[in-house]
Amino acid sequence: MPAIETEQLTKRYGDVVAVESLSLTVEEGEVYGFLGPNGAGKTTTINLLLGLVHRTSGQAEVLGHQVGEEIRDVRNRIGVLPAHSELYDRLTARKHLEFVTGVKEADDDPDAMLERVGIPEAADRAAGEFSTGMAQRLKLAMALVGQPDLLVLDEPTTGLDPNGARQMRQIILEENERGATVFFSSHIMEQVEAVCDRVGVLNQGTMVAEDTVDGLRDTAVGGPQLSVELGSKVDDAAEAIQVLNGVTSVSVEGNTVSATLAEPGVKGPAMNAVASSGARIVDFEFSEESLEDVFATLTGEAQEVTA
Amino acid sequence: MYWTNVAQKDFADAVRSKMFWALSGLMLLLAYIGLYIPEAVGDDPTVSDGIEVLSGVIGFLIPIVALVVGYMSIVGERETGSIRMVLSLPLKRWEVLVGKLVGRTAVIVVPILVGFSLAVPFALLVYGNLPGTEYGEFVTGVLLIGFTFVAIAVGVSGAVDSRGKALAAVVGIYALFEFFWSLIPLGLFWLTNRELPEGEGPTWVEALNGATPTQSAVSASEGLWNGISTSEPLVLQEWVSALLLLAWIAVPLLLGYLRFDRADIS
Repeated sequence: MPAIETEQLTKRYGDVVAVESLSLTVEEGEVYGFLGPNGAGKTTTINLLLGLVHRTSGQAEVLGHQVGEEIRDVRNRIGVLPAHSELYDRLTARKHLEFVTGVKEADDDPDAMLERVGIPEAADRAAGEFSTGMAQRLKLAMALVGQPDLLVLDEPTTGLDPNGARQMRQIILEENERGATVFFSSHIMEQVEAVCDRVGVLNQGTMVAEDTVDGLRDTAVGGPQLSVELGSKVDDAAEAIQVLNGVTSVSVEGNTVSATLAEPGVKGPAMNAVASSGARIVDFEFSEESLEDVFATLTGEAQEVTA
Repeated sequence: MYWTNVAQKDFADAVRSKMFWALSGLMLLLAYIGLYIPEAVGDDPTVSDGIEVLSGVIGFLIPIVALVVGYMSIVGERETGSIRMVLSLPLKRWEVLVGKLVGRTAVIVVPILVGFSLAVPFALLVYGNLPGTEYGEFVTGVLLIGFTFVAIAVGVSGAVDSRGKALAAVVGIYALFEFFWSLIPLGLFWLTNRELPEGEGPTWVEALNGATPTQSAVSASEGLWNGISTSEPLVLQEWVSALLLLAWIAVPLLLGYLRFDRADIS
């Protein structure tokens, strides 16, 4: 039984489509990264899964139940870190945790939980004094109450410094090892790369890709790119590259020959082939596309390509 | 009893606010000043005069206070987004509403009880006596008014999706009940008779005049402490006021719940 399963899930606000025909499956026990630029519909999808927003059409099941049914049982087994959700300024970290433990009838020790998320000193301080990083850590602690079977984390690294983000990933992995399924959204690819088994990419309310991290990298761009600008014999050079082992595709545009390679190691032989074809090399560029680029390609975001 | 967690959290939050303590201070100050005014200005004053002064002030003040205490209860959490955390927990929306109602009721009931309890020794000191039934009836009325307007405000807070709308609604509700209500029976009378009623007018005008939440609460409290005035026409008897009061409490809560339950919390 999948932890989360949606079919043709759609949410419209009047004429505006927030989420369109979304079908996704999160298997039990996996860490699923839900990626997309801001405004892609990630939070709306999470709101739909939690029953905060009512769906326009389609199906959504969480932990084996239709959203909206058996909510007591289902929500007892879910831990949620919501985005755009402030804490209660006047209440201490301890009070926040006591509230969640009370509702969930759990027996977690607030001090131990705060220790785990790295803010043991904040137990008796009012949340109004917290930095965004501390607030985010408290929200994570609240999500962890009661050892949930499913963790839904909406942009969990918001406001965290690199060290905090690393600790967050560490906890995600620990929870996953304990047996929890983790569904977390982010607009930053590298957050997802390090911990996720599978990734779904959302853009403008629709799923544009769903795969493993490696699979995504392969299918979306095909491999590292070599492009060579030539002074002469452009077609000869193109032919010379094309016949090489490990060259997936070649294209010519003006004086530039571009080749997609199966692996970065092919770039040496490729350059040799160009040189021996007699063409004059003016300039060349090699780029290994990062997952960021994959993401940018999929979501159509203009992003500077790193060489 | 999941809603008790919401109520506890809500009250704990409120107790840490300045408003709660300002409210407690205000109640106490009001009780002292109100009770003391007859002694200060009149000759041969009695404690009943003091309670009467208090009743006049409280009738205007408690609804404002209760509406202020309640109007942000739910919509405030929607504005900060904390409601998303709350509704991700094993809580149904009606439980959140009931928890808020109870929490905010405590926010107003506690200061009222504290203020008017501390006023008892003061009244005894100034006037030498304090008739229990009269004072009990007065405090019960205050509590009922407070609770009813908190319920109205929580209902409004559940029904709307922004602070501005909640504020507009409670201001409108206050103005309707405190300033414009008496125009309704007058208007109806004029429409049917083409003239204005003399004195209190016919029974239905009198009954409609006394149908506001505040008047219903006062009358219900009277019935509780002094029994039903069975000699009055049916619609002017206290149990009718008590039923009306229940409606003033239940209908806004129910409408607020229905809207809140259907709302998209995003």
